Amino acid sequence: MSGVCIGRKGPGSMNKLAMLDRKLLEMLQNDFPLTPDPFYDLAEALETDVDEIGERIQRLKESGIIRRIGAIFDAKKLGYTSTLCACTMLEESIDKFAAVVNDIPYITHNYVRDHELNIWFTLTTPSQEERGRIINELQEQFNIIIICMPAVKTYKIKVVLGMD
Amino acid sequence: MNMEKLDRDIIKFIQDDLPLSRSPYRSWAEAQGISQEEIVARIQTMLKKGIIRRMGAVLRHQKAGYAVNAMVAWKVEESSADKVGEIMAAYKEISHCYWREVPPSFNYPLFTMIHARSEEELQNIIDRIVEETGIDEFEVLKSIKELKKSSMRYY
Repeated sequence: MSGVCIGRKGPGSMNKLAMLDRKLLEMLQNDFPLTPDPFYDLAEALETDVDEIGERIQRLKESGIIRRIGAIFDAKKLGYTSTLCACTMLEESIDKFAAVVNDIPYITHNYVRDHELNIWFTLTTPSQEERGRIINELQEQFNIIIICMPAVKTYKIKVVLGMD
Repeated sequence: MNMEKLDRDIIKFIQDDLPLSRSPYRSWAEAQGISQEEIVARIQTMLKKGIIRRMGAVLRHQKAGYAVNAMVAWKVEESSADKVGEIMAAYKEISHCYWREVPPSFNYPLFTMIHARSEEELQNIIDRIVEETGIDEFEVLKSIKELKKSSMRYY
């Protein structure tokens, strides 16, 4: 991406990252070695030593830039079903709704958005029945109407961020 | 899907954060009575089958310099869904692009997630999309507050 941002961000933001960190983040996202010793192989590819790589990854985790290193799955291929949901909720109910949603592992993303439909969340469940059960419970508990908008066609899923 | 138990256990292991060590798979593999090479081979197979979409780092957008992350939903006729969907998918600033089943009360079925470094950059991206696709009816759903963002836990 071409956006240039100078000196506006606090510590831990990308523009303070050294070149090696950028290359490392790029490789960690796109070319993570599928080997028994991936961090050593990363160090080799970046022509540095494995302790250096370990320390940098540790720092990137501590500063919150890296959420985790692991696998991202295709929910559908694991037999799960996903949908985007939205509803209109009174301001004063939002905190309680957030707390209830925090205890529902099948809801992974939940946002307040600037729209009449002010609550948007994603729901991924092992079955349609489970989806229906959760939606019904939330509708009753909060006296809301939830609309479900499942994806019928995927044109792109690529959550890899450019580091240039 | 009929998933072998070992594969399911591996999925449970690698949906977490991999240990930051020289042999991140070894102690888990030993506890299962298999070799770390076998885990790696099974991960590769699941990648080939598309069960695993990607193996690697998951970043936090905001912290990685992408301060403005907007969901933008577009009013597109179903007959031009593929054409417009593919144009939008080509934008590197767009991470997700889906055609969704929507109710008549929210008739914006083509959903995109746009990541920008500033408000101006977001506006600029939207302007380019409008110009290229001719689609000028859309809703920008900016997030005001993140209430929850977690990784899905399977099994």
